[in-house]
Amino acid sequence: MSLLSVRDLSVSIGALRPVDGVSFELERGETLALLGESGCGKSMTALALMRLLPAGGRIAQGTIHFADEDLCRLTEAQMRHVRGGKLGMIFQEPATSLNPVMTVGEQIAEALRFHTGDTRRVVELLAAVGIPDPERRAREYPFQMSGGMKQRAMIAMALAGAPELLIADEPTTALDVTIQAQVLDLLDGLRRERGMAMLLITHDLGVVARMADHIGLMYAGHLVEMAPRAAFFAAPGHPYARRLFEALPEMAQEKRRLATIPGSVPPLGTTFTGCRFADRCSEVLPVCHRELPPWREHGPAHQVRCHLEVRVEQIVRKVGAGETASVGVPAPPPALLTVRELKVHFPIRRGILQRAVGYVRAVDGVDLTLPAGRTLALVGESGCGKTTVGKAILGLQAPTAGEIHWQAEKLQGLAPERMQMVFQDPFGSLNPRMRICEIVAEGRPSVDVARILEQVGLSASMADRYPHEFSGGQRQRIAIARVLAVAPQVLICDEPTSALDVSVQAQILNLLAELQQTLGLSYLFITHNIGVVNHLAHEVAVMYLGRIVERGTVAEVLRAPRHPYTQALLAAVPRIDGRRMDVKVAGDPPSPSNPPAGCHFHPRCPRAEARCREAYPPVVSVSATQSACCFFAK
Amino acid sequence: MKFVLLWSDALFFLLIAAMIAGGVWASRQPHLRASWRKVGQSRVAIGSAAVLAVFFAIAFVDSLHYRPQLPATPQGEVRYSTEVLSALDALLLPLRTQTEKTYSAPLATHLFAKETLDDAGRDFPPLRYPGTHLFGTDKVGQDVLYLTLKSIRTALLIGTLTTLIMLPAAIGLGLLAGYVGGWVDDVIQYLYTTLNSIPGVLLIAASVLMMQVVIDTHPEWFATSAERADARLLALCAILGITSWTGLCRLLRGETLKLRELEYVQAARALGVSSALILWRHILPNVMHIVMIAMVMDFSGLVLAEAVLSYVGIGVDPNTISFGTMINTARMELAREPMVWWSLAAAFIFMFVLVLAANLFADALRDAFDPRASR
Ligand code: SF4
Ligand code: SF4
Repeated sequence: MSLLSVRDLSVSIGALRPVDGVSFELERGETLALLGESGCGKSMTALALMRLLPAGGRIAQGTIHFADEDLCRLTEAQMRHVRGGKLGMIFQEPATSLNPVMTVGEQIAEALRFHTGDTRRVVELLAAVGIPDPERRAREYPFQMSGGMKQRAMIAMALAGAPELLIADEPTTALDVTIQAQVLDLLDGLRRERGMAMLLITHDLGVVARMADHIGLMYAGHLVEMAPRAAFFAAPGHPYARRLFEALPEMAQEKRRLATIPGSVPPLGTTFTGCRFADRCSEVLPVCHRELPPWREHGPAHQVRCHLEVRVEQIVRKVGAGETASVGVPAPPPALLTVRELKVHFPIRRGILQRAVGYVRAVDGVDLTLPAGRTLALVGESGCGKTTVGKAILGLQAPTAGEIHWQAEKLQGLAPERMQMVFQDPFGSLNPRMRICEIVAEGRPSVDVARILEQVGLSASMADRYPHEFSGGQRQRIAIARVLAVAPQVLICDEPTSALDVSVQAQILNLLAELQQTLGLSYLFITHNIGVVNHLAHEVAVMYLGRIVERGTVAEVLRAPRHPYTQALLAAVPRIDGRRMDVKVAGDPPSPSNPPAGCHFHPRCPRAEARCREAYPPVVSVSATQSACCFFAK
Repeated sequence: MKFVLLWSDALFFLLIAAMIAGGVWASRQPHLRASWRKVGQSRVAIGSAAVLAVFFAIAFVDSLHYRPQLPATPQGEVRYSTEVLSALDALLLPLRTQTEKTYSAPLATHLFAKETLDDAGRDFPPLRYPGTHLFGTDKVGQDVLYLTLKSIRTALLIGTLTTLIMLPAAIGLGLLAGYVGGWVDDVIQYLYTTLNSIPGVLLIAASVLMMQVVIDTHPEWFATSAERADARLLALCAILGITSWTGLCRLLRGETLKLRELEYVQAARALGVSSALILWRHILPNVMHIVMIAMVMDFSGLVLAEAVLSYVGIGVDPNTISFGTMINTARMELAREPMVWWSLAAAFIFMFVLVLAANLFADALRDAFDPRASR
């Protein structure tokens, strides 16, 4: 019998049904990925397994058999022994899952004491999750550790009870790609070593391709497709799955429109008759609105819940379609915006007199040129200073040194008619107390709100509503409308799609591409998402610890990276074709308040030599457009 | 009859008008409507609001002042009394005029102390109006219920006008400190830390005594004693206001610091919107719930503060009827043997009901409006 067998599980919270009739099985030693966009019920399923539903939530029907026990029948006291014992769980946000006033060692010891009575294995566990110097680390507090380290500590805690099943709820979403790669490797290794089963909850197709044996795709509280990994990636059966693949920017032909799924995931509490995807499905049949589609065999062990009969052979999905080399990039037009030697240092103040005892060198000498009508992507991990660069160029942040030129003119402070910014968080970037028409007209009260709204794909009738009535994607459109109202020539986009679901991200990326074509806008695109860069950008600059380490055209930097950091960054991105590159970086990025001497990357660089520790490497030109800051770039 | 508009009346009417206008405005705002609905669904909120409304109605009627016309002189000249009465006095005419000689217990038929009577030696003399004094009478035979009802206006004035005086300072300085930062922030922070570090009672006592000297040396400023008492009441509000804005100011500074970093504020700055407009459009509406909650919370504190200050003799004019002055006189009454307990009890019951209602209402408001509390 399988280790975990879930039959017809439904969860209700009040009148809502976030999970509705979900069934799946999980064998020992296997990984099942529950995949889906936000609000599809995947996390709620995991919480139901742990019997940790939020207040008001309960298991409305169904059974959960785990290691021959019916979890729904256990008392809370018995459940406590299962939880953290045979059933371990790790959460998305390591920062809030650890108790800040206890040392990491104590917290793991507590878990050990409860489940095994033996607290001596703390150091052993910390070593098992790859924490260097575990004796010392065990005595540290969570705030002394980096995000990746904390997630490792969380994993160690989950391992304390020697679980047979590990539930990982978006375990790497809060982490940077290079750290994500390390944590995923760790999880996979542990699973194999200990013969654990793993239930992985994620929205990231790349992570699924890297980790899962089986995949369950969820949509609006239903499972809609169950498949082995290879079959799922080779021939996804459900129209939703196919659209998801096409919406991925890394899958698209370069600079083409991305396929999109109209609308967004239906809100909880929608009542459905028939297929839950029907309103967004491009292949919708008349029967779909009337009848709930049955499970159909799509291939061996591959089931799809859809009325449409599609045979595997009919599905042509081009893996790696984005690999086509770009042909003859035209010479870039003259620069519109030039940034020279930009520095932003934040003083660290201590003591009563608030004297500056040091500086956080958030941005430490950055040069950029942005030609008219083109897109420059600024890529880097969190804390590398890329957002600060954007704010300093815009004038929201006073630079410590450096110059910003608009063609020949030197810029000082804000230039609202020329440059505008689109922010990351579509929920934080609109004032909840203002109507849409007021928001759009904020920069220029005389603007024709209806025309601008239509330009970003919204209807003019929305002008009198308030932001809370809109979904994340629509809000991001409103934010774009607001900046378009002042007709700028340069848009600084700070991770504009990272808070959005894949299907909505594609809509926004298409909109940005369209606006670039019709209005000739230039974008400075700040992001950590390599797929988006590949799709949208012309040039790329890679940032590490306040400095640019490599720059060039997209084709050059993404296909033939010269800087070891760029190589590691690209290798760390989980690819949906499941291919793995083995350039690995260890460790965490150092703090910008105290960057390592010499090349900033040397403590993590696989190729570092003695001279890397002594001097910062010069800019080495590789071609007319590509250059890298590394002694070995040639 | 001649109408008299005391300064405090004018301000009180203004305040009530502002409250009504604010209520109408708030009920038109869709984002506030949901919160108000939540207030409306809470039985506690409705109950406490009703109690508060009764108190406000009494204070309102008590703020319509006039000077009654005296009987015409033989020359036919019209003269007015120097005594300023209010509509409440007129409504409570029986209570006001049906006085006894001295103390009588609640609903008693005889005086509280024995007296030598003409015919039958020492005994409890019968009351002139037996059984009508719900809370008894005080030393000079005034009805205690009348006194407590008159105290309500003083308490509400202190509770509301003080907030009105401190609000501009608290909001203005709080937003400025949080948004502008730099030396402006330093100066404002310095100001309120200094004010905070002086014991409040000391500061208030010093200011009240100074104010008293000023008022006493300029008797020509006031036509009637009511006007003088009124000036003193207003001055007390001002002094309390000046010493109590710091708490709200600090709260608002913190909230503004947080809001300033929000993306919609950054976006507005990037659009070139002026700082004043950003404060008005983006920051102020998003801190209003804090202001409102703080206002209702401070209200009860101020009502109690008045009682304490008048008790130690640095509060309102001794001729003004207030809970504080009532408690002050009750001090002597409690020391008597047998004890006279009813004035204190009456003051206590009314104050308790008022403060409890205000606190319950504040809690209901916070639950409905504070976005953090609702989660
Ligand atoms: S059942 Fe119909 S609407 Fe639903 S996914 Fe299949 S084709 Fe589309
Ligand atoms: S300079 Fe040395 S340490 Fe720096 S990236 Fe190149 S090889 Fe690595």
